[in-house]
Amino acid sequence: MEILQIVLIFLIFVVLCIPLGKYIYKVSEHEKTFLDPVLDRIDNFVYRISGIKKEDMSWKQYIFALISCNAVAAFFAFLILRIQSLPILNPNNIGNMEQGLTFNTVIAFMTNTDIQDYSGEWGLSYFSQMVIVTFFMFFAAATGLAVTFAFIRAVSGRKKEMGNFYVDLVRIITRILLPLSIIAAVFFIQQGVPQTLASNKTVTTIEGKLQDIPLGPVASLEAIKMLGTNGGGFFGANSAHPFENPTPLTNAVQSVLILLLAGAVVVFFGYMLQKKKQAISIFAAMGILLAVGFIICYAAEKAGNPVLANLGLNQLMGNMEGKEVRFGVGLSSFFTTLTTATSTGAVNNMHDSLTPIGGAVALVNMMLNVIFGGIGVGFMNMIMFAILTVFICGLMVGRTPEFLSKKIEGREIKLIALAIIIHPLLILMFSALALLAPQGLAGISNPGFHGLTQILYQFTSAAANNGSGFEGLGDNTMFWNVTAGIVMFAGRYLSMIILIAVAASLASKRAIPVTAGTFRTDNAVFTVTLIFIVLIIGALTFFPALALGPIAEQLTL
Amino acid sequence: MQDANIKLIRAGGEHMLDITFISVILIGFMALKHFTDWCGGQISKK
Repeated sequence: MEILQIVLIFLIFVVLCIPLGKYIYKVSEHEKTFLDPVLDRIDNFVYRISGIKKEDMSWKQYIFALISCNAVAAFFAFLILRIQSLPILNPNNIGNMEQGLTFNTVIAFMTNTDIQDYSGEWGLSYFSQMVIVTFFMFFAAATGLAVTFAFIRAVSGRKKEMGNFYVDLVRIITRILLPLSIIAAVFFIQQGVPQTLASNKTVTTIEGKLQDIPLGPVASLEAIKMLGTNGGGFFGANSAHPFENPTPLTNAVQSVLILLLAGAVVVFFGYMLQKKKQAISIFAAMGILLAVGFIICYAAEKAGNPVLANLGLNQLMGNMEGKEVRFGVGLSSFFTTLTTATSTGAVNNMHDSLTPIGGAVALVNMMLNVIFGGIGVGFMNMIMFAILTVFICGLMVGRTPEFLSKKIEGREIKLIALAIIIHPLLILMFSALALLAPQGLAGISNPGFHGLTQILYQFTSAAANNGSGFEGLGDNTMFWNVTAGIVMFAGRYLSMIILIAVAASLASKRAIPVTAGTFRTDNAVFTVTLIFIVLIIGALTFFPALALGPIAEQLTL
Repeated sequence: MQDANIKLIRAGGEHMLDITFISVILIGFMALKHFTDWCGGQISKK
């Protein structure tokens, strides 16, 4: 039954992707949509008061606009978190956030990572939840999608210029994120997710003890948390909390929302190129990697814990440690696969309690960072691997590599190689630093192979801008807050800048006519080759670390 | 008097930490600007 649910959720996602991808195409290319009569007025009002001129930008201007926008937002976010104890929408009298944690939190939300080294219900005022967390969930997701717009415009050869960052940002928020979030939030409220500014309720339990029930504007955050592949929860327990994810239906809708925009971007790419087959080949590669990951994770969790089985404990339900009984092994494994593949980071089960192989799937998804990924960013990473694939295949057959009718030359490959190296470099270098520093080792709650996995997971999650945590790690210290902050920052912006530069380089080239000798990138052969290139590069860079962590742990169970 | 001085020094230390972190973030963004220029140089090379 649970497998049927999972297949159904995936089918709904695929069906919804197609019209949404077409809609995104219309938003990107300023074509007429049914929302224009209302939203044009709102957009024009925003442009007027912000002094936005709707002129096209070069790729550098586009990036500089992005950088300056993010820098200003980061400054104000830092300020607000440091003075959040003021009595502005703070009925629970939450205090100011400590400096190191503020640094980490600001970067986490600005980079769409949403790592939370605090517990939402006790660490943030309602004002901070709404003005920092919810705002950044829209802003960071829109930034990622705007960069994807620019990237696809350039790669598809439609324009030499990239468009206008500010216009893209406004249109994405008003025409894509806000309407979809409002629909999702209303649905969540109907399902029982709280949406209130009232303070926490203190109730008497059946045992006669007093308990605080945290409340707040949860539903509005929940919608964009999933849709924007953000992942930061209102409560510490995230989507395992019954107020964030109260019913099987909310769990199914959240699963669809996690994938929705990341998948629709691939369809949008197909519309921009006017080559459906090209989009299908990329979508298929992502879908196959996702399915394989889920099958491995599900099989590992379903098999249960051999240590407990040896003690004579029944493992028929699978490994239920750290899982919600409401969701069971199937829906928990599925959620884990989706949230790590798409760089969302929301969790409906405890990842630290996954079996070593189940945890390894989550790690590998984030290490590869191409399986749908964060909105647009995962897609751009996959295109980077697609370019690398045509380059390698071109070398094998002795032909100048081409991608989308553009010649791939040394300068693009140099930058792509740099982008591919940055991700593992951040993960492995900082993991090594944490293993060497006493402050890093102090965070480990479960020494040994599992401890190494805890450290590896934290930096992988940060570098992939995922944000999920193994949670066994004691990460709210100056060392962890600062190092993870640096990794999130570099992981987000460096590859983004490189990919836009590569796209701009391709846009400036003349298109080469397709001939019989052209290496096709829109068929099953290319899809399979692409998958193998992704897996080989991933294995070459991460296998030693995985062998010392989850693989060794599995073998010693 | 001594307590008041210690409090003042602590408050100053806290503000220093605020200024340090904000500076780190701003330096990070400035480094991105230079990195963008460097990437521009790479793609314009013949």
